[in-house]
Amino acid sequence: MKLKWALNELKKYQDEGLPVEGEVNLEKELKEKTSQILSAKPLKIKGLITVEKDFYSLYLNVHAHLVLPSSRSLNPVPFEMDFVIDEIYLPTGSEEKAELFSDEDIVIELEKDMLDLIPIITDNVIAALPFQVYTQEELDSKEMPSGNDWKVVPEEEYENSVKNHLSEEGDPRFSALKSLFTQEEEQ
Amino acid sequence: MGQKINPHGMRVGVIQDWDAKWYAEKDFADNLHEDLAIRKYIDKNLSDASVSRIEIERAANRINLSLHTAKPGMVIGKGGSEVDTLRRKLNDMTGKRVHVNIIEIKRPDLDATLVARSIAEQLENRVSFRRAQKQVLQRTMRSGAKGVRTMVAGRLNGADIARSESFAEGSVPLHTIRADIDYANEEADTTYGKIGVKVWIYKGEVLPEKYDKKGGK
Repeated sequence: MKLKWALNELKKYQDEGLPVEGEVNLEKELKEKTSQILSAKPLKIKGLITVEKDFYSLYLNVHAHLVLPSSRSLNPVPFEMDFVIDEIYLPTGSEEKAELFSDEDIVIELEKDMLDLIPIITDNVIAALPFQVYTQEELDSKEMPSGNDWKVVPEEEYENSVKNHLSEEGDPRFSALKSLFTQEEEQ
Repeated sequence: MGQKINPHGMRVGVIQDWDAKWYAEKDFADNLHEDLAIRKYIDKNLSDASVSRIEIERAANRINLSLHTAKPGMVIGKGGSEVDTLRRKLNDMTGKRVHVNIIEIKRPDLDATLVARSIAEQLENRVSFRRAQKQVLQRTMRSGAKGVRTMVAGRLNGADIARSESFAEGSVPLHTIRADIDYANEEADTTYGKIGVKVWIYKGEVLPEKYDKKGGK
């Protein structure tokens, strides 16, 4: 499947645009850029490249089926995601034109006179990766890993324990002031 | 130019807490240097583990470390090997017994340190600075933030003249002290030199809890 076009080549699609649809295997490229992906099935992509006089726009639906390490146990977790790439590309040397577009648009200056979808899709997949993924067992169980002098605590539980500790015993930094009033009363 | 204060520093003691929770008189300098050494060791050795905050508590001959992380698995390692090594090294370094609490962050998209580091990593991987920032903006707002601002500064896209570009969505009321604003500053090492990344995330206001007549909350 063709994923790379010279800008001159794209000019002939100025009227109707260039539809892009198919499957593309980017596992090697993804693994080279991030250690967060254990494996990736070929990505399904479908969209359109629109050619304007001064810029090129891409609207692409991407469906990815990846295997990521669990955030808690590092066990492999199958993970599916769908996202849209909606970006505008300017030819080399015309970055100042980016200001003409709305703040909502993602406007990127091309490094060469070429529109290459491989780095575009790869970068967008990496940017869309979630910070955390869990196996089904981890989601179902409330048990957290622990060991000799270490334990994993959910954030909520930790915050509650800090709150309870402060309300029961007071702030430990002010413990030296506890006896202040009794001393004054004695005097 | 307006002089900027660190949003976290301005809120410590009001709506945000200290990262070091101990008191010392004559041992203050030693403890402080020990804290710095611990933080430096963790930053260096757990740089891939998405650690956003390190809290240090001290009691007698014991140190309680609380590591806030989005990926506890990276801190623990297979079968706890990494965290056991970390504990052993810190025990040797300090001569005290170190207990490690690994706090699993619930909503990492609202953590400024993790978000800034994610932008920096993308910049190091030659992702366009606009794409990296826009993606982050969308994800953070989708996670429930009331406002987010990102700024990158340096030789953007390898330009000869360094400049800064920022993106914002929602509001970030820096002058409101009760506004819970998380701030972080990271650096991306690119082939053209360093690019600074700053992130501000506004999570809403922290209001005082109401007390009833009996004194309960």
